[in-house]
Amino acid sequence: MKSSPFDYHRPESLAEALSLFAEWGEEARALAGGQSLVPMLAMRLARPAVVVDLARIPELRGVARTAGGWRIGTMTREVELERVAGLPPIIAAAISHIGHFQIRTQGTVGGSLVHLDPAGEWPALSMLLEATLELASSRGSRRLSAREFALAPMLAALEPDELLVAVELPDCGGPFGFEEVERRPGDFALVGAACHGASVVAFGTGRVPQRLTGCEAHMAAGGGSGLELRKLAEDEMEAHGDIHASAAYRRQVGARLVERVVGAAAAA
Amino acid sequence: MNVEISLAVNGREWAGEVEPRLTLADLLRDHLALTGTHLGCEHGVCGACTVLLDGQAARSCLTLAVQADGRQVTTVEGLSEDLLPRELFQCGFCRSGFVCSAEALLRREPLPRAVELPELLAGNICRCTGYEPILDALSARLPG
Amino acid sequence: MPGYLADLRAPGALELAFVRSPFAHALIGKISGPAVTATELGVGDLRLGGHGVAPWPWPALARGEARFVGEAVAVVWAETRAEAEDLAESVEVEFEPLEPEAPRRLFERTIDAGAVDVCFQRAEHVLERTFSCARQTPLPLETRGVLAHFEAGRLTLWSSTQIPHILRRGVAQALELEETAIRVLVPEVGGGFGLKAHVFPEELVAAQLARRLGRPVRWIEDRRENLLASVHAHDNEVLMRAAFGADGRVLAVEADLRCDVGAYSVYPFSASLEPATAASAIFAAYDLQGLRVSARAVTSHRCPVGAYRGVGTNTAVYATERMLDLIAGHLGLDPLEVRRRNALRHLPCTTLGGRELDSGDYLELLRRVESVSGYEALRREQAEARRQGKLFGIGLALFNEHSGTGQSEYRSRGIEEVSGLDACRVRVTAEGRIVIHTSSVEIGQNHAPAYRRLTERMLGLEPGRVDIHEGDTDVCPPGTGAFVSRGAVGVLDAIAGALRLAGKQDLAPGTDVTCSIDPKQVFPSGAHLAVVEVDAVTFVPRLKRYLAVEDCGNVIDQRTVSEQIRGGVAMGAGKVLLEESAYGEDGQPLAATLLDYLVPVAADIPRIEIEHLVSPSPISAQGSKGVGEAGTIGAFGAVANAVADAVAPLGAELLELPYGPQRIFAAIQLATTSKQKKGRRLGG
Ligand SMILES: Cc1cc2nc3c(=O)[nH]c(=O)nc-3n(C[C@H](O)[C@H](O)[C@H](O)COP(=O)(O)OP(=O)(O)OC[C@H]3O[C@@H](n4cnc5c(N)ncnc54)[C@H](O)[C@@H]3O)c2cc1C
Ligand code: FES
Ligand code: FES
Repeated sequence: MKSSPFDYHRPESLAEALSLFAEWGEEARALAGGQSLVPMLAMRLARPAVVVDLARIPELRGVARTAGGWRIGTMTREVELERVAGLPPIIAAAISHIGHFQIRTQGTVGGSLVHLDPAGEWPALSMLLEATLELASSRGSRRLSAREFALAPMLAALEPDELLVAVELPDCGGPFGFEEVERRPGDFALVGAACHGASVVAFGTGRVPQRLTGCEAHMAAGGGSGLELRKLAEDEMEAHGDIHASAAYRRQVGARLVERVVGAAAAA
Repeated sequence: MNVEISLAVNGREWAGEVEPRLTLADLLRDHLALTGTHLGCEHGVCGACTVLLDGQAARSCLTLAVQADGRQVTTVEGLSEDLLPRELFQCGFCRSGFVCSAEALLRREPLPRAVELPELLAGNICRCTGYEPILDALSARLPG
Repeated sequence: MPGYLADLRAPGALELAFVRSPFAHALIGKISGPAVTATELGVGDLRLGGHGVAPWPWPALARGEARFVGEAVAVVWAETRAEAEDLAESVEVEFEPLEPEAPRRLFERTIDAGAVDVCFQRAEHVLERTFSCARQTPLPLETRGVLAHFEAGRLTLWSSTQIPHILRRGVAQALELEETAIRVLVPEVGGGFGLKAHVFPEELVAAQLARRLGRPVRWIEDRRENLLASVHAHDNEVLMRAAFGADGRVLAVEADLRCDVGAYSVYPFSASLEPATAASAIFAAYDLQGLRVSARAVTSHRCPVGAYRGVGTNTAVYATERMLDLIAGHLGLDPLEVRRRNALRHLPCTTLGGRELDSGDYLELLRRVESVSGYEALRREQAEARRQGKLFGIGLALFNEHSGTGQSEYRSRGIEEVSGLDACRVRVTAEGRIVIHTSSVEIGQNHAPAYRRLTERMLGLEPGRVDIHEGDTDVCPPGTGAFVSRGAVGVLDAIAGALRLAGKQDLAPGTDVTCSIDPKQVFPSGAHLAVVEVDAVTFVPRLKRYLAVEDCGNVIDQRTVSEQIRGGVAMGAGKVLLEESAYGEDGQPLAATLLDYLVPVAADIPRIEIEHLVSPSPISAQGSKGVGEAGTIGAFGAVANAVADAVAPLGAELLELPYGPQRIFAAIQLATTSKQKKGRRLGG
């Protein structure tokens, strides 16, 4: 299980990186923490001609408080985020579920967002909190909502010459609920759900994290978090089956988690 | 196109040319003859290849050697024999990863609590021991 | 020791990579590129002789047809593994996918003893269920590996193996070499669990290429190859019927076992492995008046099935113990009481399945489980937990297992390749050091201290004079290797025998004696108890408590016994709760990474409580019995029953392993819908 050969670049500025991507396009692959890319290379599921290591680009790092919330540089590692003072507890709760501590020392926020595992915590959070993703290419930059960004499993709305630069989250303090079913600590979620304010999201269920708009409307209309909510969640949740869980499991257990997270967000 | 890198492994400088696709694990094992770091899966799950990268636990199978350029690496060879001694294990293949993970946990401030260990060590697989001897030995060094 | 296989320094060694079949069944057409194929390689198939074993050998490289995903079709080599993989990728193979072939029957074992039909006619109750054991793989943390070097007419083969002498023989046959022209060396082994007790195609290929190329050749298996193309295990279905009375006494049992052994018969055990070991283990700890078993090995387009800790006994004990709990549930009796009423009472005895049980006290095992676990209080705790809506289960298992299988058993299965003998050679060096060579190898069971202590005790030596040296066919006496817990039986007896011979020569420097033993099976036993809680919302089962009361006869080394039990239980718990080498309908493997093939981590295993009971074996010279598999086998009963007990109040019945959240969920769903249907029928 060894990677096919590739050339390696480690640009020192964003401009330099973007010009590499302008040159190589689809044949180049960004390397962030490597926790998903390196195994894909080893299994030869990814076979880029060029790997561009984003580790030394200052513009991609750092966590900043902004007027309306937080701006997190794409190359921020989970372990760095864990140490940010005043980090909203919902973020801390979500990232505590990401892999093992040995993974979180390397894995980055942006890598996770772009990798877009349907069970990933970052894609779920971004959808829940209506994050904005800042993208850049040598052609300029643009901003996408989380919903626009998440096209399909493992497929982000990035052009081949584009990089994710940062993610912006609104203020997200206050009560929340975040629950997932893991077979073993550190595993990807079989199914998960989160609630913050008026938003509810299910993840690990469908192709990408799913906002449960029916449930949200029910809550907005003053509906309770009981059986009715659970039924709504079950009805609207997209769910797939695989060797670990059937669609029916994901839908039914997912709905129970929805009930719980909504309860937690309301109670706290 | 090979790349020149230099790094400090267990306090000693190493410099040389490597293929970009070479992982840190293979660099340590094949080029530096530090075979104490083992490979059990090469996709990040088993934990056998765990080393310390700039003092933090990391999978050497998920790190390219070029990513370690200019950084400090500590392997099981650079850590005390007494931290999880060989007798605690059976086949011993997982030991390297447990030792490096344990070292990282012992460097934390504040120290983790012993009751958290089973979850904290979920990223290290042992097929032989049932984990108890490893957990017991490490728990003895942690607050309850 | 020079480290593990991949740590050996092998200057100039070529690295191998295999081109493997992406199809479950396909014709192999033209192969173009830098590869060596079956015809060019000229290595014989691994052949098994003997009656009862249909020859269906696993070829070193597929010939004409590929029969499972992952089967090696061609081989390439280069200076590094990465470059070898580049070459492998560049090889083009014209595959023509084929429909799956009808299963072939490779082996059958039947038992028909006692008054089965009469018992079934007379019995007040009959219960019938189909239990299934998932396909699994041993997954030692160190994968397989081999380093071959041919020099001056002699082949040196370093291998991460449990069976050095059998490997030597298999390679000699396939390469048409004299056995003496081959030296097998075993470095440190990073776990085996049965997986490394086979001779594999890759070992033959490496050996042959070393001979052809005149350079050292190395192959280190990667984890994906290991998950898809080493050996799998189990994949058994048991249709079981039990005839029993209102008092819970089981009169007779019928069982029909279908063992999917995958694409080929493995070397040296053949396709007989699972059916032969399962058949005689059915209800083997219980007193029956009739037993009828039919156990078959049939092929499929999946990875060949080989040994994995506990082998067929796991399936048998699983089905037996689940059935006893179902009987208890059916009659409203306590599972412990049902076991007490059925347990064999007078040992030694011969079971209807033909096991010659040498010693043991099964009622005492159950008594100890009851008292040490605080069984009554535990049941009260369960009642209270259930009142609070918790899914809290208690599971039991009572079992025996065979250890130290000797020559006659292998011959009865038609296996010539396994001598069944265990041997020890004792040498006294010029400096007066005692060197012990055995036919076994160290694979993590840490047996050297026990061997050393036995030697010191028998010879009355002060510590520090004894060396243990294993895993080198040039100096170690031929024998069977390290599996079916042979270490504590035949190997110990052989050591004792050799030491006696050496003692007769007064340990004079230059003494060199060998003793070879044909061990008779001895039967360790145990009673285990597990407590499991199933999350009522997510259906994730958690093992909360585990008690193993074991009886492996005289204990040679307390610590080793406890280590083996503990590790075995953890592995068994994983096998019941997590592990599954799943395949899709199309024969595509679905568990190709460790994110999909799940094994237990530290958070999954509670502290294992271990109690020892000692019924010395009258057969083995040391009175000891093997202990390597007992933990795993016990967990197949106890953990499975605990999960099932946890969800029993919901009417759910679990039959199919592993008992993960999906299976538990589905069983509860089924129970709920059938209850609803019943309700409608009654109401309407
Ligand atoms: C054992 C294990 C368990 C794990 N468990 C979980 C889990 O429970 N939950 C979870 O969410 N994740 C889990 N992960 C994945 C982990 O979180 C990864 O780190 C993460 O998904 C990817 O982050 P990375 O920084 O390592 O990115 P990389 O692996 O470097 O990159 C991932 C992908 O994103 C692309 N990319 C990265 N950055 C950019 C950028 N700025 N612009 C454009 N493209 C970019 C890369 O080209 C690549 O395609 C696990 C991983 C392992 C090995
Ligand atoms: S070898 Fe790196 S985690 Fe398994
Ligand atoms: S001691 Fe063998 S894997 Fe841990």
